[in-house]
Amino acid sequence: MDAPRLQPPMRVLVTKIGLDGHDRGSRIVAAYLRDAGMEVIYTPPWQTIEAVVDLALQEDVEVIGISSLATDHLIIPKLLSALREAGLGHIAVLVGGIVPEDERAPLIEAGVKGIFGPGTSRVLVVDQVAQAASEARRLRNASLWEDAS
Amino acid sequence: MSEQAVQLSLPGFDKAFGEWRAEYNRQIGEDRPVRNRSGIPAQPLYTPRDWNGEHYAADLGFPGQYPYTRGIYATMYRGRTWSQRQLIGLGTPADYNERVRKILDLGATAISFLPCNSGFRGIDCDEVDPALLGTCGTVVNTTADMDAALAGVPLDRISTAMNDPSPFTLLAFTLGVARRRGIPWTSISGTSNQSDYLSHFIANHMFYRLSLPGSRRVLLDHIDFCRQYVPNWNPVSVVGQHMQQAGATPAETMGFTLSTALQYAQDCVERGMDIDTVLRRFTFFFDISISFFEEIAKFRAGRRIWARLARERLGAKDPACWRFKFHGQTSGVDLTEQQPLNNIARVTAQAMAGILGGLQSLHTDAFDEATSSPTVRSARVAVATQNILREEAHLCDVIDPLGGSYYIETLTDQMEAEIEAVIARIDAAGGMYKAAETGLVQTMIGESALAFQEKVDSGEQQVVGVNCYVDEDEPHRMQPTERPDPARMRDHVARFKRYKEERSNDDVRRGLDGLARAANSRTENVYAKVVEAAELGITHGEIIGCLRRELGFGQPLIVA
Repeated sequence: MDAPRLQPPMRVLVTKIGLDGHDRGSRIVAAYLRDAGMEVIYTPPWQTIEAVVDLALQEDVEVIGISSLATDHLIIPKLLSALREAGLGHIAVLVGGIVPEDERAPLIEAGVKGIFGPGTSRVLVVDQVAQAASEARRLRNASLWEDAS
Repeated sequence: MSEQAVQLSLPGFDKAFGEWRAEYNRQIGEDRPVRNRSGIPAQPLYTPRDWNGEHYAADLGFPGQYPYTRGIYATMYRGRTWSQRQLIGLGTPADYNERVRKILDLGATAISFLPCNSGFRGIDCDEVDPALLGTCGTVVNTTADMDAALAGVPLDRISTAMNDPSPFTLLAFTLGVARRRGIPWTSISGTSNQSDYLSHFIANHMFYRLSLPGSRRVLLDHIDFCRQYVPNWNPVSVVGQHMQQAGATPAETMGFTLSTALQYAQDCVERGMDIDTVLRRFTFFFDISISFFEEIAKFRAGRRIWARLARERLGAKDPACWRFKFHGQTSGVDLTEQQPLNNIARVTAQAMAGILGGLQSLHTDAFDEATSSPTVRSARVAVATQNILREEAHLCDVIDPLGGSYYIETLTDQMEAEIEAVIARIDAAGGMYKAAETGLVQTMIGESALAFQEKVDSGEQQVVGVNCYVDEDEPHRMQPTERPDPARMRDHVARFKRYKEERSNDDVRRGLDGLARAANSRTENVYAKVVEAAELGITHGEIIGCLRRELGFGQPLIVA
């Protein structure tokens, strides 16, 4: 039997990029994740893409949750390329809020791991974030192992 | 009439009531507790034992009479129905102009203007990712832009509601346009719809902010400037909408909003302004949720409390100051992305609550509001909803048609007590400015928002298509999202950059120096200098940049 291993808590950045400031959703989701035992880094709205990349690096997060309730989802592909350029391609980016049906595909193609519309249950949000975080952790550890070898 | 005379003896009441109660209990078994969003419990039935009209004259009066519970005008909708004021704004100034002229051709007498979110953030169009420009409002950064947006619009005959937060650059641009066209400022009418900086600090994180003291100063200068030079303009619209959208209950919202109005009124008095001059230009702006009777009672109670506050606490003598004039917008938070056509039914119920609550002007949301800015088709349905309610549903035949309902009057009294308790709590905290500065209001709203979400999550609050009657096969959207034409927006930004290069540098320096000086002076009116700067060709972003430097920048207080 394997020796028990201590797992550090999952680390999630909950933020909003672009121009919109409707933050009721991001605050509620941040509270859900915090109550589920995750370490949540929460920022006010209107972050720039560069600021989010810097924060993700400094805080060593596994998941970035972007709340978009107006049109800020239109620049999420730019965030994903910036993360990859910074060597943070393992981080899972999830989107919550309002993304019109016809504008979902470009986000998924750009690498977004999930889009959660209004009415998504608390259980589902926590579960999906946890899964995405485990996967990101696995990817990061694998790449560390590669770097070391 | 003596109080004795109106005491109803109600022969046969007790016996019949007892029989009904017994039958009700027998059939229902264990009754479920029912509470409205403000936490007030609802009985299954209301009777003259709950409300019997004995204080009719003092509490209700007649329409157009203090305390205005039944309406602020003697004739209400029999005389004139509410103004239909749809919020519009998308794309470039030319895009806005096309839409607004279409609306005017259809007979509208009032228009509104919603700027691009980049404007709300205090920056110009050349500082923003172009993919985001004009997606939620129109890009207007200069007097020249406003001139294009309002081409062919008769400014002296059309009332305009501007979503124009401090330092009110959109009104400044409009005044510049009026000057160019030879229209006297005294004939400009409308409302600064987003003048309520406290509500922005508390609950609307859309906006850039000057520091709290800076915002306070600029609002007072704006009120003073309009009082002198643009006397038909309403410089203050006290906004409950943001707070209710952010999660405050309807009773909390009304309490916070009235406390905010008290704060602004007291600030004006301390500045030496005459209360009767400024208060008559105060207007209010509320969210109308789908909690139907609660909203009606909220508005009736709010009207009564405001009349008493304005007359007794603030000492205003002109009855125009006691009248609670308000605009209502159907609540976007109640709309769902799922099964979007259902939202037409929701908006209809919300709009009816506002109308039965006695509003003066109404915006009905488009059914696709939960996913995007309205399309042409959905905007048409929103307007038609108002037309149907006005023309077909006989809502305007009788003034305050629910007045005297045992339930509505009881609920109005109960909401009044709740609202007054909120006002007392804010008073105890030192007024709304202090309560926003310390985060008390933000904390209260956060708790209410979470409590409501938990009710939705647990299924206690049912939402059709979300946590009940879910239809997995329903397509979410029926048509592609409308976005501004990228080529037109690119041209606009290119023109804007050229405009900045070709301006007189002397004018820009002179305007910004004047603005900075006024900001640091105790006696100069800083808003007069905003208007001057706008006329000198200075941009929205430059004006705000200057005031941020001189008056300080304000971050919203984030409370856990």
